[in-house]
Amino acid sequence: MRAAIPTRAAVVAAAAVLLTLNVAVWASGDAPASVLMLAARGAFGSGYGLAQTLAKATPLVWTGAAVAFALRARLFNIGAEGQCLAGVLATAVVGAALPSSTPWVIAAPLCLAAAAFGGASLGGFAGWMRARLGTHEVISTLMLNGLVAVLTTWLYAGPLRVGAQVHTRPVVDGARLSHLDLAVHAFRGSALNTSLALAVIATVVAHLYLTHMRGGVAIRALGSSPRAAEALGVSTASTTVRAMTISGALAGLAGTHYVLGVKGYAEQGLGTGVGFTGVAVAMLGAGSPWAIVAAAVLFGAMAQGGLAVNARVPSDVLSVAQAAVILAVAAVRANSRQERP
Amino acid sequence: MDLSLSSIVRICGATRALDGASLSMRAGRVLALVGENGAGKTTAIHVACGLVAPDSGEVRAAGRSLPPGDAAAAIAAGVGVVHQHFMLVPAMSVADNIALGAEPRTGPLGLFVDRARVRREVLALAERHALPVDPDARVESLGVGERQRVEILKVLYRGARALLLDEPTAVLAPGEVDALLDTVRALAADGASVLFVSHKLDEVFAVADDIVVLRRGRVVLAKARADTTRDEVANAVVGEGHAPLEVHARAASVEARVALELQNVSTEGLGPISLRVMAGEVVGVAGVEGNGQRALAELIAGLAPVRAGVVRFDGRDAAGEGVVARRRAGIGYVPEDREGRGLVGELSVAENVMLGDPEVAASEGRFDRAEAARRAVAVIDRYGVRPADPWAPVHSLSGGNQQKVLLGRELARSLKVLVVAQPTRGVDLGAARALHEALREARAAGVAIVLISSELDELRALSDRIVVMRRGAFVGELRPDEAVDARLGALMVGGS
Repeated sequence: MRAAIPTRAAVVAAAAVLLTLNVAVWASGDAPASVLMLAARGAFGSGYGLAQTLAKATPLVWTGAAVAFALRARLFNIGAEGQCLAGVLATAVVGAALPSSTPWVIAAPLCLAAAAFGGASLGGFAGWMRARLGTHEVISTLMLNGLVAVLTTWLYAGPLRVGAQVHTRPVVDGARLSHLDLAVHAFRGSALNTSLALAVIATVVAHLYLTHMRGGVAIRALGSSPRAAEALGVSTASTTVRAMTISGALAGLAGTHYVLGVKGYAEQGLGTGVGFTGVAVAMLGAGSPWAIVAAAVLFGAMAQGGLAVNARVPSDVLSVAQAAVILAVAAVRANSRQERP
Repeated sequence: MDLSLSSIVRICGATRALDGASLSMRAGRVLALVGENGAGKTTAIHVACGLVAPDSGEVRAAGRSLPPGDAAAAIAAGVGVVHQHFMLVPAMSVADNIALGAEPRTGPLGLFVDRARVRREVLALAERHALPVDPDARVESLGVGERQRVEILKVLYRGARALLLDEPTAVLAPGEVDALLDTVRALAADGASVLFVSHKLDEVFAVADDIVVLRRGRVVLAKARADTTRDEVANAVVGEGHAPLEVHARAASVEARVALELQNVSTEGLGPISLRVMAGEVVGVAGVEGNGQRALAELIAGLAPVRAGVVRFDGRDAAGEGVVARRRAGIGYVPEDREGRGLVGELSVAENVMLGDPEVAASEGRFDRAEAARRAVAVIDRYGVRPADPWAPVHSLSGGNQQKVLLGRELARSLKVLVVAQPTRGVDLGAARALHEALREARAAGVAIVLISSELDELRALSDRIVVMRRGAFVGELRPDEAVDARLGALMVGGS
């Protein structure tokens, strides 16, 4: 029964995409079949398109894994958005502060750690507020999202600006993550970089942590039966903080895709939206690291496909399709919960 | 009203919860449905009242076939269920609860509930069936017995003429049980048909006209009460070759060492109380539920704060210690709330057993899955847990098997003190016997046991002495041989 849910969710998600796209394209006055083909070709039909789909999926793997991780402790980390922005900021500041001759073996780990730290500090703070003050994490993380958005806007336009450009100083060369078009010629020109590989590895590691480390088992125990966990001596407070810290770190690491992979610096708007889409990815892929990656690729493909058909139908059509996926999957999950004895 | 189930098959996953079972309730008669846990009793009720549709078979009310899986049609036909877990809204009044969903309307367009009429009808119904209730009292202020009366009135209010009572006595004190049995007889005398589900043969033989025993979804015995005996029914319930539960001769295992001492201790809803339990002694705690037993258990386990008084384990002051320190010191806890407090439902048996070790639950490092499986297999083999799969999630186990895992987890540690509440509630006879045996062995090994139970037979069978709790205090102490139902009952409910 439980194993069947991801499969069923995937089928329903695909059906929802196809159905809404057909209706939306038809309503906007174009031929559905040809537009759909165009979108599919844009997302998967060429090396470049595929690479761009995967590039758009990369931050979603990070944030999807982040939200899914917190969910295992039955914590709803809706702050992946702000944690991602904090990761962008932290990695850009550290990367730019290093001496230009810093070798990559030092620069890259430092910048990755900075991104993780940026997100973890926000997530951990929300966890601490939940554990010590009883503030619900949905409220605190939502508020922190707004705080970080305003803070970064001000920093990028003010103190961290480089002359006339509204972005930060570039990070050192040693910190940059390799673009995969160096290895695969067909990916030429795409933004796809090794942050994707790191994201997939981190998603799997986070999953294994939940079953192979005491702290991870404690997180699942707390998420399943908080009162039983308490009676066994599992610390509710420290487990809550731990779950939110790790979740925040994963969301913060999404910043590495933008700063170390794509741009080389941070600017206003970088990373905006992937935290919230990450919630949808986690809903769709909860329970399995591979389902999270697949869900991220689905959303990446819709974003890339939307660009490909932009000339014929508004890209909002793809936003509608995304919303339909979330609604459909939520309905399937609610339904299968009811069926459980 | 007659209500019959014929050749019902209901498949749940891999098992046949009902496998061709037929039973027939007749107007004016009480039919007792008996069987172990998982025998299909509750499923039969769910099928009869349209909560679930059978895979095959037919339900007939007063000779007419009911549409399968249609609860509204079943209610309209006069089928009423009092579920094992009450379905009342605590913040609403008795009258509002009884009428909920079936309120008479008044005013333009029927915009208002005719509460005066509800109140009148509830009083008349209560009068007629001798079920005294205060229609204006809020349900949250009522005791268990009163809530049950409200539930019964609720189904009568909807015009039920076939009443299905799912283990109605499980939650009641001895005096309340007698009153319920009287009510059941009166309802039958009034022309209703009643299905009475119970584990307890005393009650069954006191109230039933007909007896049906279910085992693994099949009817293995269906006779009029006059034509059968308790031994025959007991054998049908458990299958052949089981001895009945009996009081074992107690070995003198009580050591002259105080393992647990409470002195004038109080916490929320409890005390001040004093209690000494020696190593190798079982102290039974009797009482109507909700009289401080849970607070006592949680206090000893370290889960309720000690407001005042002294708590000592082996002579060492432990009042300020939390749950981890207590578990490290050898305090075990088997709470009555098996899945909510005792076990982590979504985790596997192995993970649950491993987390029972406070060094694992409250520390960092690798979670040794091989070791977890090894410990789980030890519990599974020792207590015969089914399925014998250490990686099965606990919520997929039946109640009896969960209880074996829970008790096995606690007894696998080297315990000094064990608090165990309702160890065999909702557990079938075979499992109950294994659990009792495990508790006896722990006692022989020198564990001091505080046994909280609403089963008086269980208390008498296991305890060295029995204390009675009422309103958060100990109101009496009896030896097992002097603890007859009448004396215990009087102490529990505050009689003479």
